Amino acid sequence: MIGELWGDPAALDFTATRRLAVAAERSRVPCWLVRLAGTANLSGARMRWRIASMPSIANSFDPRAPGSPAWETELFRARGYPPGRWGVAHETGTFHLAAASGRGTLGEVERLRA
Amino acid sequence: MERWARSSDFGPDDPVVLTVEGTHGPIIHAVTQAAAERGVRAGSRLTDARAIDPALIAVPADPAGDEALVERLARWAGRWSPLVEVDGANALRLDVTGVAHLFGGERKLVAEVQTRFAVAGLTTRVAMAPTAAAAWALAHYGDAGAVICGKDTGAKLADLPVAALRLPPEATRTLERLGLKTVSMLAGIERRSLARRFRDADNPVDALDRALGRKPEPLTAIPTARPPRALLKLEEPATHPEAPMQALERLIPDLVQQLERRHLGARRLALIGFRVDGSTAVASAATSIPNREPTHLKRLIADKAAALDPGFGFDAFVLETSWAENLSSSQDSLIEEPSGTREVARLVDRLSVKLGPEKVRRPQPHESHLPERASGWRPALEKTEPVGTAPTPPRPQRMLDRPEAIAVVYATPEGVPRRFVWRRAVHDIARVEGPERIAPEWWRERSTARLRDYYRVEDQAGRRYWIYREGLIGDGRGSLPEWYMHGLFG
Repeated sequence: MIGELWGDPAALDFTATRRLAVAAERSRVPCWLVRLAGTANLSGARMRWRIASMPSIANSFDPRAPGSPAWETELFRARGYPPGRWGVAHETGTFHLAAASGRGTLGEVERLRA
Repeated sequence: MERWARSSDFGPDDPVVLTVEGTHGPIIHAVTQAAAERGVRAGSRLTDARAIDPALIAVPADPAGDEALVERLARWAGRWSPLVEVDGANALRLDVTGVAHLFGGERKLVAEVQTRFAVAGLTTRVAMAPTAAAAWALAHYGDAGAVICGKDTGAKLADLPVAALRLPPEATRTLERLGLKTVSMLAGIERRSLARRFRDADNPVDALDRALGRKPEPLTAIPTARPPRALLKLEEPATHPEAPMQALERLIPDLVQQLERRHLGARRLALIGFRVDGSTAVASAATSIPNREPTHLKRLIADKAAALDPGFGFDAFVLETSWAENLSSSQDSLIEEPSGTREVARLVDRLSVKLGPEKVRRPQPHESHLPERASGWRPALEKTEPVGTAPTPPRPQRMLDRPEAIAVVYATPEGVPRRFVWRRAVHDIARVEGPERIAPEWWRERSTARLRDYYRVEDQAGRRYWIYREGLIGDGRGSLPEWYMHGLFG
């Protein structure tokens, strides 16, 4: 389940996010809350990522064209995991680690996603 | 007249007439008992009637309201028979073939029809006959009170005036001038000589045959497969607000059984409560995929059923599926695991009932090359149809509702963009791919619509955008081309 929110609505306080997290865990549905232009204030989310754009991977057919999209991801708060930074790229169907610029290993990220 | 009398403030003894506008002034449409006793007849002109009795009170009639009442009564009369037809301005025709035994015989059915209408404050003339034409004739021209006839239809019709055959007025008048006043006199004439003088709709032989069942009379087509419906009659009118819920409890298993037998699933469901005063209350619900699960159906309609207003009391309930679709008994998988589509459909149903069908929507692709027309939203309860979409180059994950104008530095006339300003921020383009040319849909747009060249661009920070240039220099459709931002890639 994916929800998306713009900015910092007053309704999205710690209690609301915490409720969402507990409800998702209880019904065993992965729940993602995508927040645009929001500040990283208090939240009950189990894992919090900061995602920014990154220059895309070189296009093998046309060097001047943008290739597969890539993102710079930062895990800045999570229960039971050390924070870290990764570069993530998307190729149709699968995710690849482009360059691990932080500490984590590939196996760890795969597990985090799951 | 009775509808007017119920809502008016004149006494029963006032000579009131209802009038409609005719070519030569007002014509009397209906009269009260008091006015009729003074010699005023419906159909005559108001001025003539005034000459008879200057004290007449004329009130304009409301034919549209009368029509609405008859239609409402027709719906209400669905309690006796599934096939009810509005016949003219003031008659209802019920096909009660094979229905009467449910009400304890023909006599009892007719009596019930009369009492029900009497309770509702309406006078009725009821006739039951083997043919629709005979029933009409007996109801309009027969003895006062209910008439039921079987094999003696011919004998009962014999004394009626020829007008009872429902011929056009001119034909009726001609027959009367010929001295053929009653149906029996007409029956005595040789058929061939009558048929020679009257053609088509005027032919009294045809009308006679229809009345006596020698010739079929086309009725409104009966639906070949009746929608599944469950009926519950109450001993006494129930005014308790819990009544619809209790009726629902008993009707749902019945309906589900019918659906199962016919391998159907309900898409539209309605609980109709018949009130004693001659009106109905309806609670309806819809599902997004065919469904016949008792608990789910009950949950959908329960809230609305509980809110039904009993008025003076319900005395019958009908639960029917106005729209049912084929649903074979299915098992999702061998393992007991709820399948995604059914769960989602159930959620959609419940949300639609709570929030209203227009509020719950799902994205729907359209067959169009224009990106803003290629997708849209439609109510989730409606059926989604697979749309053939041509493979396209990558489309942005996020489209702006309305393209935003941007200032672009580019190599004229058709070069790639180098830098653009969007929402007051300057973006230097690092990589660019394009153009992808999308022509306007000439069959629905004006001739001045310009083509678009879309570019997929990426700025220094790695943000990917979808921008387009509208038009070409010198395409004869406006001045210099403008640039727009249309979407954002993930």
